[in-house]
Amino acid sequence: MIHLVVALGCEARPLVRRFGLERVDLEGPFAVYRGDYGGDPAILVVSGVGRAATAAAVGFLFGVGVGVAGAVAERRRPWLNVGIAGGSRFDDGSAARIGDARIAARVHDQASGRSHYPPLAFEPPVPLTTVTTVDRVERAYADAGLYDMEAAAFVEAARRLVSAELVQVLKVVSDTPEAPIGRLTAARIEELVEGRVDDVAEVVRSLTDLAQSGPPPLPESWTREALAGRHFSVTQRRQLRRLLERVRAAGLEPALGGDSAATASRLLAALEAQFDGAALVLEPRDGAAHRSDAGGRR
Amino acid sequence: MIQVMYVEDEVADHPQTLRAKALFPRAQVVRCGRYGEVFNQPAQNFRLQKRQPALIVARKHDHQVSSAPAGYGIGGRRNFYFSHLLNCPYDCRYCFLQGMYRSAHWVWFVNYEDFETAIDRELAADPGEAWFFSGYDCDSLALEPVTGFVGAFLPFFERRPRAWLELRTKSVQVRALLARSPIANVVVAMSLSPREVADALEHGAPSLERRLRALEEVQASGWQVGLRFDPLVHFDGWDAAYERLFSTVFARIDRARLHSVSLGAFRLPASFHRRLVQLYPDEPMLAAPFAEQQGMVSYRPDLGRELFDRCERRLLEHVSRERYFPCSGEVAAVVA
Repeated sequence: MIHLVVALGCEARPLVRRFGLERVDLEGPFAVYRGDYGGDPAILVVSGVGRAATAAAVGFLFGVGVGVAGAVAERRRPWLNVGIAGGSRFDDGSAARIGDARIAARVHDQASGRSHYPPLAFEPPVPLTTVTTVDRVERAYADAGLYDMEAAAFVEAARRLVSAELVQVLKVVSDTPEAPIGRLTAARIEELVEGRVDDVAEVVRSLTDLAQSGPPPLPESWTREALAGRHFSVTQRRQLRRLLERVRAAGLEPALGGDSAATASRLLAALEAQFDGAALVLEPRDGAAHRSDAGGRR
Repeated sequence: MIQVMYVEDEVADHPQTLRAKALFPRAQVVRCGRYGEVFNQPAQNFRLQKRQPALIVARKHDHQVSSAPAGYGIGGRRNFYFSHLLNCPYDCRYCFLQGMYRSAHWVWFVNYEDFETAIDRELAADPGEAWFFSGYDCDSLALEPVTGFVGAFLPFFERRPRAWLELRTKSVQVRALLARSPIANVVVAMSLSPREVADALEHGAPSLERRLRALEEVQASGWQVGLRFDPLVHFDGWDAAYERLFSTVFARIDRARLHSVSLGAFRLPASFHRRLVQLYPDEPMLAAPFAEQQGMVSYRPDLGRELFDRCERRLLEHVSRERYFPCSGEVAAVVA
């Protein structure tokens, strides 16, 4: 599931249409839309303008996601901030034109002076540039790159939830020295974002692929069976998770049943014992390595 | 190959930077103050970044040369390492860099002149010989077409016979070596593993066969070569696999002109191991029974000892003790 964060309703509308989202009535402080896009769920929040609103909306949306899918799943899901931005020229010196789209290679928080560099682990569909987040509308565009009012807060907040590669920013140029921000209307903003929904969809696809390239979660049935009827301390739960990961990596079935595994500590010992006297079988990189022993191999 | 190139402001006009930009004209250039702003950011995921690492072009401001950890060396009294690169294009699942760095981006320090000054400083501090290892935080040769490292440093070491250079690698980028006459105080050390380990764990690295072919060529052209069997990996059939490996290698490499052979156990600082497990909980190699002793993680002692002793015994059937250097358990395995 991708999380989309936009500041304005008019920025949201083209995305709502493209990703087939529907308004969810959460009775919360933010408008939230959900839907399935090509089998991958998408969830969008309209944060409002500015840093505080954006950070709050990210937290709110994360809470919504945890309620739906649980914290473990939610912490593997990507985030994308889409919105308009102004500027006169990009980092490479070329002139910014209305409707151009850029992915943020560097997000600079003008207030704190801090910069973030979203690591790009996919091929971007549009060029990169710096995005500087300001607290007041920028009209001078003194530095190269684009100016917005949300990206830095978005990046900082979302990175506390997922890894930095899964947090990206895509901006569409809405105002330049020749086309000042004062002339912008909601309809025009909607039109500008509409013109870049294909690029947004491409980034969503890349981010979704990237998020799915991580290690798969443990089978829920294993954890459920292991925890049933046994009391685990916090440390023992961590040990259990790692043992089940090792069992899976080694291609074994976990020894979860029987009298010898009646308590948490005995279960942990039984799982550890599955690794006695056996050596891993290595297989070429695209095959799954497994272990050779008498235990049940998947 | 490289899509994003971060460039420190300070080296934006450095000749090496301009060369890299010319090599990758389609790479998007992002300026930064210091490389650490990019490389050391919090919340990065090494595994995800390995899919598409960026190149960070930077200046190494200090500590260009460091003392090698105790127990690391091939017979020299004074041992140092220096890293013109951090990280490596290969993706070996046992590599300690995955645990040491937050980022998989390649950091390239272009101020070779400062590295050379630092090496000269160490040479001036003692009249004896000194060893300089270049493959500790990177593979010495794998990015040669980008960095021109060998081309730049071989003439430097040629003029300093007291300074020994070890180029440690899994790469077959040996053109720069074959294109010139060998240097007496330079050793080209190839890291080798059984085919099973290379195929399953050394992702992106040349196959065992290609590495051996490259090493044969290098040796045939007169360079001193070394063999590095580090880390030893425990798996089903390891005994026969290492026996096969040693037989194959010593049937092809001229023992009489072999500089050194080393053997190293799989070992990592515990914190690095923890991070590896977090990144690759699904990696079979990391499912093996490990034990922590004095802050280092290695195979459970019974497994590790049997693996090391048996391999050592088999290795010494092929090579004399004078050329054999076991690597201490206190040192993390080098990259290449």
